[in-house]
Amino acid sequence: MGGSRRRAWARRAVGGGRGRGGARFAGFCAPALALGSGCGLQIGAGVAATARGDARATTSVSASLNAGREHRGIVGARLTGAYDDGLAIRAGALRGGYDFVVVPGWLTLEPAIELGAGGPANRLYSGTGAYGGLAGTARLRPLPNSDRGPAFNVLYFTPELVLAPRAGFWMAPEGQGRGFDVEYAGELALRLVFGSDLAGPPQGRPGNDRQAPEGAEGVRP
Amino acid sequence: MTRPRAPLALALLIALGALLACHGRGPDTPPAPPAPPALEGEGYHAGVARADITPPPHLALFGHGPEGRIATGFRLRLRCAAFVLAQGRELVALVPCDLAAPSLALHREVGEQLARRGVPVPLDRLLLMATHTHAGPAHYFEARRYSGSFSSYAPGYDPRVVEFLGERIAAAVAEAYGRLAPACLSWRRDELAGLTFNRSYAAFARNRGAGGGEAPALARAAEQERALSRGGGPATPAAAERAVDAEISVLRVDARAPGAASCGPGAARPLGAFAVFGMHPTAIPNTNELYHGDVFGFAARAAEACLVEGEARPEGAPWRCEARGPREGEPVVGIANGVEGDLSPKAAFQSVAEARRLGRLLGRKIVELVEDREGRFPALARGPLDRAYWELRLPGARLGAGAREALCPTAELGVAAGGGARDGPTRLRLLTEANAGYRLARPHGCHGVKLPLTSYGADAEHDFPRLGPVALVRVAGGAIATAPGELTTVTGQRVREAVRARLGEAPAALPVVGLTNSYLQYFATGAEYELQLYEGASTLYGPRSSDFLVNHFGCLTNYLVRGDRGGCDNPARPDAAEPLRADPAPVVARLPGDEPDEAPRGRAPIAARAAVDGEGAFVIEAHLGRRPLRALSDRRRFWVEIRRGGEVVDDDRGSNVEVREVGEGERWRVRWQPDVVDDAGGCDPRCGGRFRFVIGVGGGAQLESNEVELACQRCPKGAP
Repeated sequence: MGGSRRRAWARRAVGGGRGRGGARFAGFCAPALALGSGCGLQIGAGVAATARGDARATTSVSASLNAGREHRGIVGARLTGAYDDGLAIRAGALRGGYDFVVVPGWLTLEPAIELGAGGPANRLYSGTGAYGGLAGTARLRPLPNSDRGPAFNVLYFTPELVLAPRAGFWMAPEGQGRGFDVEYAGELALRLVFGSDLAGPPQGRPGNDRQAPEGAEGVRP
Repeated sequence: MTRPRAPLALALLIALGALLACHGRGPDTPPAPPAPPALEGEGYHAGVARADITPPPHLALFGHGPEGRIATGFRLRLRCAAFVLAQGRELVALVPCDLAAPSLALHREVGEQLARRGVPVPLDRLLLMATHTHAGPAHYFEARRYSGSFSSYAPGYDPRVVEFLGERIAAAVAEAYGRLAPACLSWRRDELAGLTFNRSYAAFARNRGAGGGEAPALARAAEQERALSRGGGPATPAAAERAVDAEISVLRVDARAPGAASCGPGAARPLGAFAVFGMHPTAIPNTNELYHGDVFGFAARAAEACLVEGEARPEGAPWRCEARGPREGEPVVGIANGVEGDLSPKAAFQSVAEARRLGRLLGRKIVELVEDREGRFPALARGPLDRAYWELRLPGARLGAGAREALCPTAELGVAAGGGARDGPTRLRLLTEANAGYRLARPHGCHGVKLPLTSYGADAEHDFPRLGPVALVRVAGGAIATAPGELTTVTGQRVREAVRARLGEAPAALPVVGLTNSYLQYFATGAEYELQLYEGASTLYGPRSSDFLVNHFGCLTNYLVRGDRGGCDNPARPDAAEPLRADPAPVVARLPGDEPDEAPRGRAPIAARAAVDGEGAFVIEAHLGRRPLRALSDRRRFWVEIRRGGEVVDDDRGSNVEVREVGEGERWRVRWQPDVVDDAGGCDPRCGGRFRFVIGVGGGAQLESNEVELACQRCPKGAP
């Protein structure tokens, strides 16, 4: 198969032949697919507050792996901005967690640990502080999707409604104020999930499985 | 003031209604053609014709999914045979074509073109049958999965391909209609074993004890198993070869003298023969890049050639009739595919040589039945000719009152079908799930153990056909049942029994033809479905699909015989085409345009010399001008002849000439590979002869090659 044919094949297989936007997103998520996972692009808004300052409106954008049909570990990243004199990016964090598929195709809980840099939303100090905290994300898929039942989905997009509370400690840069500030935040978000069963967990059994349903003879070679 | 407005509003409403009605008709509901006229004289009338439907190169081939290649030429030109049968005001058109599958879009297009031509063959009397060659074009399926990703190497629906095919098929039907003349019709039936085997024997064998005991193939296979393996061992090839529907039926069509009330002994050369035999024509491998009629293409040509030579061929003489191009007035042989869902050709390996070998065996059997030298089969000048036609609405259709007595509300393809059948594996087999037999451990929902294959953009409304046309035609003491898909052996035999039991009298023949008017993929029985081999995974509407089909053939027969629907409450209107609500996607342009050919003009010297290649075929690479792509689909603009002296001995309408693009539309390789009889049975009279290519391109240009000697291994030069 020549190079151009291979590329055309890849475009059809991954992008589903549905336009360049889908292909770009597919490229973004290709590593996730290789790991047998899906990935999500999330944007949300909410509030964040510390004990020492007023609450601020925040907006976060995050990208992370996510589970499809089975529980699995995930990694991701988040950028959070706060509204002050306009929107300014205040913090970034990497996260590692675990997706618990509570009701397949409906509800997933995603506890995670976050480590980040920047500062609290209400700008307690200038400079770059360090962050460590916990996030507990609840993701709800309101629309019908094939994960609710058995299906081999080559490629899918589905939206999720996300409730994303988090809490953590900010350590200020050296020489600025006291050592730690606790920040609480909560956001409501929309996540676009991109996934595939191509490298997902097995849902059935191959034809030569000898524990076939009662009465079946299996497939002879 | 209100009273005067009421009539105005009414008029506007009526006008709006009329506009909407006109708009709603669209291209899917062509104007109804006039009713068939009463024919002159009594008794059967028949007209036969043939069409060349070979498209220009560069369309994707359909049938092997993503493994299908882009066509670069042709080996056996694709053809349709049209048989128009009529009596009184009843009329039916049987149109077997070298296509992978029919589509309702194409069926409607042919109907529309016939209506435009004023040919009174309405949609419910037009039976478009595909031979299921896997080397026919794609791009004419309104169902999105058949034109979408994974359907072929270059997916897409091209309305111009539909128009192209529709025009040529309609022309053949119109020609056959125009030739309607008094005729004698005669059914011939026999068994033809040894050409096929059951490729999914494990699934087939599961029908035992599942209500499948009525299928003769089951009994035959079981008997063979018992003989070969006491206590039931692994399937043997012999058992798999007996697990087939080996019935072959032929309807011979002869001209009858006007006014003659009966048929005497048949003429040596009939007008044509409509044959039905079940076999997957997959003797050509999926690496093929040429339009190709496969086994049935060879068989039809061999039969036509043998019928021409029939008078001169003494009984017992070797079968040497070569499948060259047909001439005007010669018999038309059309082969429709029968019960073939799980039947593969018994080829030693997939190749042109094996396709030709099997095709000649099938063609020979057809000729034997047509010639009927023992005079076993009487010909009829009159008799019943009637038919019933339903376009069943499939999603959620019921076949009984119980909760599970229904088809699934949506069609789904099982992922286990993704890797293809054993005679056409695809690269998707690298996925465990895409291999035959992959299934859920526990049944889930309507589709049971099937794991549906789906993707972003799936559209239950448009992905698969929702209408399933079924028809039953009674003619000449026999009956033809047609189904919109591929029937496994046991499904086919159950359909045949359901019809036979209700017809009231044993028909002279009862062929079950699949792949007619639309393509619903497979109809595996419930027991076969449970294994999710290729046929089960490709049964779209769930495990009751086969039962539904069998049940509705019973009802259809009741409707034909008694006029009632016999308990089937499908909302399909009898004897009418349903509105086709299609939204094909993606719409593409694949058919080469009508750009002017830059073909050489006048008589020009050929650019390269003919030679003999490693397979003993004559081959020539020729510069034929720039991109004569459209020309290849039109024999007035492109033709190849093989000449010996001044005599034309073969041409590209036969089975021996192969044309392939090798250089961006400018250089073409033409091969001539005659089927030389060169063995202990006798020498081919062509051995040692000198032949040359003559190639016509464009407006009158003619290219002639040097002469090359046809060398044979055993026979001396020129010695027959």
